[in-house]
Amino acid sequence: MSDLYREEILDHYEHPRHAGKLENPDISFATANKTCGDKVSVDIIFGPDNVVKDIAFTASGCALTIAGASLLSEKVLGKTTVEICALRETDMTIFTDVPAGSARIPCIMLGLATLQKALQQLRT
Amino acid sequence: MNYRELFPLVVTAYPALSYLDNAATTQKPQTVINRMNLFYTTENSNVHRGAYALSERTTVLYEDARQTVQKFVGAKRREEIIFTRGTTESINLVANSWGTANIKAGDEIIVTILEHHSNFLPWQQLAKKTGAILKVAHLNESVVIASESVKKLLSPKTKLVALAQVSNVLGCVSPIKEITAAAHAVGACILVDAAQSIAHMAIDVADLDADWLAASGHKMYGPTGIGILYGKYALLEKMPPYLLGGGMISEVSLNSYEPADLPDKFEAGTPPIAEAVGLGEAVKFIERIGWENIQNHERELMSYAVEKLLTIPAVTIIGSKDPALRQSVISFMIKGVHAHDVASILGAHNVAVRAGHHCAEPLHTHLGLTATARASFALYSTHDDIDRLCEGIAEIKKTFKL
Repeated sequence: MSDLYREEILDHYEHPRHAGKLENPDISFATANKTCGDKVSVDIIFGPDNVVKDIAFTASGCALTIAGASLLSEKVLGKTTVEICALRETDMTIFTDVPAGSARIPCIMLGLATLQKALQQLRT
Repeated sequence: MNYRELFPLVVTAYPALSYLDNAATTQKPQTVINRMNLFYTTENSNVHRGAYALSERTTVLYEDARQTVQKFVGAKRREEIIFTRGTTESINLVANSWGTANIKAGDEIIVTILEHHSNFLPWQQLAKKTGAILKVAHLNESVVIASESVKKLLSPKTKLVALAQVSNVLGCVSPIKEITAAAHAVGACILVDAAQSIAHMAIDVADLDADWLAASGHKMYGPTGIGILYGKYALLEKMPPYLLGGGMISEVSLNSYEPADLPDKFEAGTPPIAEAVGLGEAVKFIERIGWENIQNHERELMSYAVEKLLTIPAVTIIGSKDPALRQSVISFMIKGVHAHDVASILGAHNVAVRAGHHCAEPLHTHLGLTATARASFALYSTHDDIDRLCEGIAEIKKTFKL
């Protein structure tokens, strides 16, 4: 279980990648986990063919929420919106090594949930 | 006295676990588990006075449990003890039955900022529904509810004061007797949420003069699915039924029905019979140990816990740092670490605590917090458990390089 807080996770927690805001993002979206107060917001800039050219996350809350968003940000750069919408909980459990069925799943999923909701906005 | 060996889960199933989540639920002594097994093996049938011997036996056991609880809380009559599913249902019963019949627009209801959602939402919504005004009593400088906190909100319009005897977050004990006297003086009724106090202190409803008192079996070494509502006979008698169905009627015709007498009027459907019997055994278990032993044990443990936690600079205790003002509950934060991370890492080190707002979101918001960690004690909690908790906190500090 100490793996849950292994070096990589703590590194992403203390030094989240792509943290902050973008200037003139194509989309900006925020969600929160009301039960614990964790929040994630995402800014995205698209390149040609609906590929994510640049991304920034602002996450506050527990280590897994912040690390989850940070790990995700590295994975989605260069991916298309279709590919990102196809990402599932199983993908997040692999990225973060949090076991499926863990009580901490909502934490690691918050970044992906925010990102996918942001992309849905794009369609509408 | 080693109480641990009385609890099978603690000594056999999870001997290495420091279970410090007793405010959420308590573990069960072997006698309670045995009593329920015995019931299902040799005494199970339905109550409501069937015509055969087994049913008479079951009914006697169910009513014996009621009398055991009656004596335990100091009620005058058996009809004043209603078995429910738990504290939440007990409070909802009063809100829906007495509340709907007696609260009108412009009436005032007083709750406190530290209430559990189960003793907050029924009144919030009753006020919304009826046009009554919900007033919230606040903590004083010592971070407790003092009688002044409530008294200054009382008015001739106050119809109800609803408050917890012990806070499930702060562990503070509210001065129920004083507040009840003040409430009665303006003609208001008082409902006491005893969920967090029932296993930790002697309760005498006559002495408190509470109009209603609600508690849960599973927080007092009894089974889940059973709770108590104590109510003064004169009040319960006038209250309309809450749940409708079998067992709470005296007669039913096509267009109407007559409700049964107390306590049946408020016990619709087949009750949690085995659970009531289990609860009766839990009461006897507590009585055998005795309040003096229980309080000495818990008081000593609380002193030790506060003393140790105060030596860790990264730890902030939520509420009073005076152990004498706390009953069995310590909520805390670790600087720079989210409560969920705290609970996860402690869990990995075999220390069970809870993280979140503990069903007291208004309190957390008021204190400027989103989530806290909470350790809570019971009879089987030991110095060792506290030491483990502190070791776990040291691990957390190491992991997060604090």
